[in-house]
Parts: sequence; C-alpha cells; structure tokens
Amino acid sequence: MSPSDRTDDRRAEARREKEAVREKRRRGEGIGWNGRTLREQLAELEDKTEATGHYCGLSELTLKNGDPIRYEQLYARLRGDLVTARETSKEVSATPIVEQEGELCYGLFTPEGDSITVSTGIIVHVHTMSEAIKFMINHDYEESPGIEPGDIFVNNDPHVGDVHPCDLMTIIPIFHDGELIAWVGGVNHVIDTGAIGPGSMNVSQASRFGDGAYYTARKIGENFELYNSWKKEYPAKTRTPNFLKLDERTRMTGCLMVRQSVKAMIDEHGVETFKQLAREAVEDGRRGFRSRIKRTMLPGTYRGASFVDALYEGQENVTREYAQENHIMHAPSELHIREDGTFQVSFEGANKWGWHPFNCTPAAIQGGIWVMLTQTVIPNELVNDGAYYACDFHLPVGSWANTQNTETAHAYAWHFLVSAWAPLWQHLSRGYFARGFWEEINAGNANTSNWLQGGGIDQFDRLHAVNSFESACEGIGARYVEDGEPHASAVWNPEGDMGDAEAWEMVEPLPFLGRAVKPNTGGVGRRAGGAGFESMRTVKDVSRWLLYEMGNGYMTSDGGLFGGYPAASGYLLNARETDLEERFENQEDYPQHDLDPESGDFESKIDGEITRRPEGISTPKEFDDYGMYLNYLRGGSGLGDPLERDPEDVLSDIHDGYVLPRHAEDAYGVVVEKVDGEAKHNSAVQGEWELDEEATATRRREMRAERTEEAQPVSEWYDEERERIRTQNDLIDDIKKTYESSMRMSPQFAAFFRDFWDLSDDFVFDLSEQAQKSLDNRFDSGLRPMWDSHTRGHKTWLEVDDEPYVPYTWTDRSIQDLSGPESTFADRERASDDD
Amino acid sequence: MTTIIIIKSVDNHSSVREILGSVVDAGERVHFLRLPTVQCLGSLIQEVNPMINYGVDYTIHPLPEGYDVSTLVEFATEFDANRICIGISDRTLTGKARIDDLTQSILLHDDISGDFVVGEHAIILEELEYGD
Repeated sequence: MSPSDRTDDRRAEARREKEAVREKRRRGEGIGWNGRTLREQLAELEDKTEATGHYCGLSELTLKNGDPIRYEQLYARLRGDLVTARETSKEVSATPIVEQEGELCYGLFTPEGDSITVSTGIIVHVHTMSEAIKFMINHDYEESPGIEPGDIFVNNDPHVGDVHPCDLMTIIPIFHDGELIAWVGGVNHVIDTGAIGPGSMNVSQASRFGDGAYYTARKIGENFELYNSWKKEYPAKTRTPNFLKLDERTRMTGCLMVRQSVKAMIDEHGVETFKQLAREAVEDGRRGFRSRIKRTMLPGTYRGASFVDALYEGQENVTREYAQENHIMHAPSELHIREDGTFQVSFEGANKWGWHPFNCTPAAIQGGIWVMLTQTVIPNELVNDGAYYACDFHLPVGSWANTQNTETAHAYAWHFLVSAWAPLWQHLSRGYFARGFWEEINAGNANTSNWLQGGGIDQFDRLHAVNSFESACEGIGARYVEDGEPHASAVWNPEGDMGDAEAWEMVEPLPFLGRAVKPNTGGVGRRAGGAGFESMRTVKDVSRWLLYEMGNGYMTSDGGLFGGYPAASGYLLNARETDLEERFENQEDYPQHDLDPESGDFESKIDGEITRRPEGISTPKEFDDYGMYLNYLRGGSGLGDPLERDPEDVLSDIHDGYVLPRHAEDAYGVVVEKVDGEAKHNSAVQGEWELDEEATATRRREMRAERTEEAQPVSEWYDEERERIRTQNDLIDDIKKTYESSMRMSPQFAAFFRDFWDLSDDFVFDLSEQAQKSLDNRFDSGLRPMWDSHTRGHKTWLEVDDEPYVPYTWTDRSIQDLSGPESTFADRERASDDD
Repeated sequence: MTTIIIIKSVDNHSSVREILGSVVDAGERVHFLRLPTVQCLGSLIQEVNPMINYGVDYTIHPLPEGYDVSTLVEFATEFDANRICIGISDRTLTGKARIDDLTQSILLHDDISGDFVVGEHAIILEELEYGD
C-alpha cells in the first residue's frame, strides 16, 4: 500500500468513525466510555482516585496480577512503539534541534489525559500534554469545537499545559467504536516562535505579548487534514516557516504511528484489554513511585534554596523601560516526604513574577519535577502520570513559579526552572545517602546554558532564526562514586548530544572556529563535576543579523554537595567589527577558544569591539560578518572535599582539559610541574605535567591549616550576617528587593526570616524608589488566570483549605511533630493494598 | 441500597447534595441519570465529588433522546433501584414543590410503586417495588 493509499484509508476510517460518534451524540451520549462525556469521565476519575487513594479506584491490578508477563509485554510494546515513533519521525524534521538533539517526545494518554507511557526525549512533557488535554476537557471542547475522529489539536500555551511557547504540541484523539479510548501527543522544540527577537526563546520582552505566537489548545484540522486556515496562519507567524512545517509533519508522523500501534493492539487483544492496561499502568506507576520513595528516602522535610540572576539594568533593546531592572530568582524549596511515600514539592517563599521571560506555570514546574524524577527516583519504574498522583505541588499563586497571569512572559521558563530544581536533586541525594543508596547520589545538574540564539538574513538571503542546542550537552553533577560526566547531556533531555558542527553550520551562518572542553567549569570536589565545553563561532554572509546570550552569569544555582564546590558561573564573550577577515587573509593567529579567560589570550589575537562581561544574559545586538561569539556550555557541580581528590585524578584532569594547571594547586592543593611542552593529549591541552607528591602533601597540610585559621564559629558568622541584614549597610538593592518580594509573597517566609535572624516583627527592607515602584506595580497587577474550571490536581496551589497534609513547614511545626521517635514507613490503612 | 438520581440541570447542586447527604448512606450505590436536555454532568460531579464527600460509588448514564418513562422504569428495574430521586425545579407561588411531568409519569406507571417523599430540594420515591 502506498503512502497516499494509507492516507486515503485513514481519512476514510476517520469519516466512518465520525459517523459512529455522531450517531451516539444524537442519542445524547458522550464520546467517553459507556456514554459518558469526557468531562464526566474526568470528574468521576478524580473523585474516585482521591476518595480511594488508588487511580480510578483500582485497588486490584487484575490484568497485571493475573498474567504479569503478558502485562509487561503489552506495556513494553506500547512504550517501544512510542520510542520507534520518535526515532522514525525525528528524521522528518529539518532542524538539528530535533534531528541531532532529539528534542522531541511522544506520549500516550488516557481519555482523561493521564499519560500511560512516554517515549524518550524531552520527558518534561510527561505531564504538560496531560494538562493541555485536561484543559480541553474541563473547558467543554467536546461541546465546542467538538472532539471527533481525525481531529488535530495544537497547543503551546504554558498557562494551559506547556513549559514555554517554543515547545509546540500536536495532539490527536484515538477512537474505537465511537468511544475516545486514548490521546496521543507529540511535542518538539521549534527554532523560532515569531517573538520580537529571533530564536525560540527571546529575552528582551517584558510580557507574553513579546513571547511569540501562542496557540492555546485549538483544533487545527479534521479527518487527519490540517485546515487551510491553519496552514496559512502559522507559517506567517515565524521566521522559519519551512522548519516549522516539517516539525509539524514530524509530530503528525509520530502521532499517527502511535495511533496505528494502539489500533493494532486493540485488533489483536481487544479494546477491553487496552482500557484495562491503560488504567492499571497509571496505578502501577503510582505505586512504583511511592515504593521507590519509601525505599530510598527518609520521611521528613528537606529544605534548601537556590538563586539565579537575570540582569536587565542598562541593557539595550528591552521592550519596556520599566522592565530594565535586575531580577534574582529566589526559590526556597521544601520537599516533604510523607510516611506513605507520597510527597509535596513546595516553593513557599518564592518571590514575585517579573517583567522578563523566565516566569513559570504549574505545568512547567510539574514537568520539571518529572524530568528530574524519571532520571533519579523512578528510572526502573513505569514512567507515566502515576507519579503525578503520588505528588502534590505547593506553588504560591503570583510567584515566578505560578504567575496565574496571562500577561507574563514565559519564553525561557527553564532559566528559573532548572535553577529552582538544583536543591531538589540534592534533597533526593541526601535521602539516598541516609538510606545507603550511595550510587544514586548526584550533586545536581548544570545550569543548561548558554543559549546561542539570533537571526536575520542568512547565507541563503532568507529571513531565518537560529537556536543552537549545544546546550543539550552540559556537564553533569558529580556522583558519590564517580566524577560527573563531562559535556554529556541536559537535565531536560538525558539523551542530549552537542550535535555535529557540520549539522549546525548547515542551518546557522555561524562557522565554527573551535570547539573544546572548557577547563574549570565543573565544580571541584573529591568527585569533580562534569566539565562543560565551548564553541567559538564567527558570522558569515549575513545582514541585519542579531545574536544574544542567555544563561546564568554572576550566580551559579548549582551548589556543590557534601563539601563540593559549585560549577563555574557564566560570562559573555563576543566581538564585533573585528579584524578576523584580515587575519584569515594574512594567515595570522585568531582565537579559536577562550579556555583561560584570565589569560588575555583571546584579546591578544583579535581586534575589535570586544565584550567580556560577568552577566549571562544579553539582549539582541547586531553582528556583521566576522563577528565572534563564544558559546559556553556549563559544567556540573562537585561533591566532597577537593582536598580528598586523588592527586593522580587531578593530573588526569589537567591532561583532559578539565582543570587549568595553575588552578590545580588553588583548588585541589595538587602541585604539578610541566615536563614537556609538546606532548599532545586527546584534548585541546598541549604539554605534559607530572605530579610532585611531596609538595602536594605539604600544600594540602598548609591548606587545611589555613582553613582552620580562617574558620569562625557559626555563632560569630551568624552575628555578623545578622548585623548586615539588620543595618542593610552593604546589601545591594537587588538583593533587598528579592527578599522583600518573598516576604511580601509569603507571611510564613517573612515570619521564618525574621525569626531566624532575630529581627523585629516589623522589619522590612529599605528599597530604592525604583525597586519599591516595581514591586508595588507587580503586586498590584492582580491575576489573569487561564483556567475557569480547575482539576483536583490544581488544588494545592489554589489556596484552598483542604491542602494535603505535609509533615511540617517553616516555623509552624518542628521535628517534634514526627509521628513517633522511630518514624518509619509503617503500614498505614490507605497504603495496605500497595506494594 | 441503590439510588437513581435523575439530573435535569447541571445547576442541581443543592438537590444532589441533599440526596447524597440526607437520603443515601455512605457505601451505597448511586446511578446518575442524565436527561437528554443536559449536555454533561462533569461540572456537577466536580463540584459535588460524591465519593470524596459522601462515600458513595456511582455511575453516570445518559438517557437517550426520545426516551419515555418506560425507558426510565426499565433502567430502574435493571439496577433494582430502591429509590428514584429527582430535583425540584419548579415551585408554586407558596413555595411548595410542583410535580413535573416526568415525576408524575413515574408515579403513575403501572410497573413501579413506592413511597413519595418531598425534601427541601428533591423529590424522593423510595421503597420501590416493581410490578409485572
């Protein structure tokens, strides 16, 4: 059968199925199971899940228990088919973002929108498409515009169910005998969203209205055919229409493959088996998650905080003057592990959203948690929305984590998301340490940046945009038992890849001048954080070409663990109006790297307008041919005392390009001597060093003595810090604004902060007029929520009274509230049916 | 015990709450019967949450277009319902419940009999017995 025959067949099938659905509707029946509407079905499922503590009231897994091998085979087949769909459809896309990096993911969902199984790829979307489906259900899409066989829906709205608008989703319903039995969704990261600046995640907008095109859960086709109106609309809203068209075909390809797989399973095993499998898989996932938590963690509250900078003061090309202010994200996080293995993630105390594109929605936060959990807690359990039903989230309304305001911008929600998660990895690691699962311990993940983005008229004289995904290949945090993997992956895509340079050059007019491991990027420690890497690019054959940087700058959000050091923070390095062309013509030296930023090597090999700044974010600036741009991809954080690192490992680090020789002594107390200037290594390093064991031992003794000398009692440090805060003498306005914002957001945090530092009950930070005005303006802005009808899963951030119990939080409770001196995961009535 | 609750409007929250709170006991079985004039009970269920709030197990059924009272009685017979409940949608000028056509049809049907109770927001036919 030819592809066009298959297409015709599929469309004919859709029309037949549609007739069955319409006949049912004429009888007053919905498209759900047994005549219910989808909304009835969702309502009943949520009611029964919460009332019984089991997904959809399933206390017995009859399919699994009756024939466990068959159950595993059926599930593995579904999941395998999703992975196949991804691996196949990847090749349809033209962008290296998909084809090289694999920024693509598929999910199979129950009629109520819970994921049954997901493919590999950007697994943050295990739940975002769930939210999008539930949005359509709860806002009566069955009634209008209707949900029928062959329909095609799109969504990229984070307020509905997404992380940010450049992750475009295609979602299609799967019907059998007039019933909607499942949904399949595919999502990929596109190159350009049509924002006010080129690229997928522009940084210079103050609100949603500069984020690019939003497509809020809308129907864009019927009978597996896109509407002509849609085909004309969305290409005009992006600088890269052909890429987006192919991306859409990619997603449709995968969705149709998955649909075919489901149909085949039903043909072979019957629809009742499929329905039962779908239900049990989610309940199984829920149980598996809880049992893993019970096995690997201790109950209680794990508390931490992270910060990251987003600095706009003095930046050019910011769309609004009032947005030219500095932001610091404050993410105090608590992980409450209950004795039954469920948990709550709380960001109580998070500060207010800002006029920047780093704000998050609940779907983004939840997705972020899943992408973390699937890599650490539940790698060998079923990865689906079962975990969703084992967790709840406390996301303060109006904070950067849950703006509930459709005016806010979200183009690069990951900046705050990734930074906010950093302590959560470490919470889990502390639990693993306590329970003895040392091989699972991980110091964290890199801040996934820099993002090289831009656009203009490219080498083919076309309007174009670029978005390098070399950031899919960051250093990973150190493990307890091993160093972190260097330049390996990103927290949101563990299969990440830096991509072939040639593949990037085909779609970016930015030739590579060099690519190398970047020294001193991984956090030092007994176990070193994985090193990042860098690419040096130039610009060629462009006009009105813009480039900008995006990442963490002054701050590193990934602290080290157990005495390890954080990964290096970021910086900007670029050059415009250079003499690179002349250097090429004269065969003179030119910079290929910036391996040692303090050496002056870069500046010695190029003339031009050089920008080297400690910030991580810049707004779009124009670059001409032979401009230069450093793409610096970050490293992971370290674990353990650096003075305990084996000196031979430090020597290897030097030869591998992970540590500069002159920093071996500073960081590790390891003394080395260069013995050969010519030796080459499998790295950018030239030269050979040898270890001076005696000098190293001496130096380490000295460093330990210096530590003792410099150390001070915590009480002394506390008094000094308290005085700083109380007098506010050397606190910059940005810091004060951050804390004042958190205190205004959260009375609990304010009480905790004042109590901890023994401040007066009426203590507030004195802000500049500008900072005060900014806070007042944002707090006065109010809410503009998207959802009219929420799901039960939203209740923990809807400020309702019946929030699920957490062991303790802030100063309201203490360790005295544990159920007993030997608090354990003893059997409780509700958990008695679980593993 | 098994109870049928006939839903004429998704705004029938008070009648449903009265039935679940005062008439039906936790652990009993309930069948919600949606009349063809009602598009969807989803919002009602989301508001009332019968299992969370009242501990009842339930199923939702659509009554087909063109139904008559016999369809309804057959449904009750099939599930051996002990009660049929319907919300009060109309009142007299003095505030008394007005019996609608559907309720009247059930009361007059030959194959079903029982006790007639009027609550604050709902009419309950209980102690149902089924004829030939």
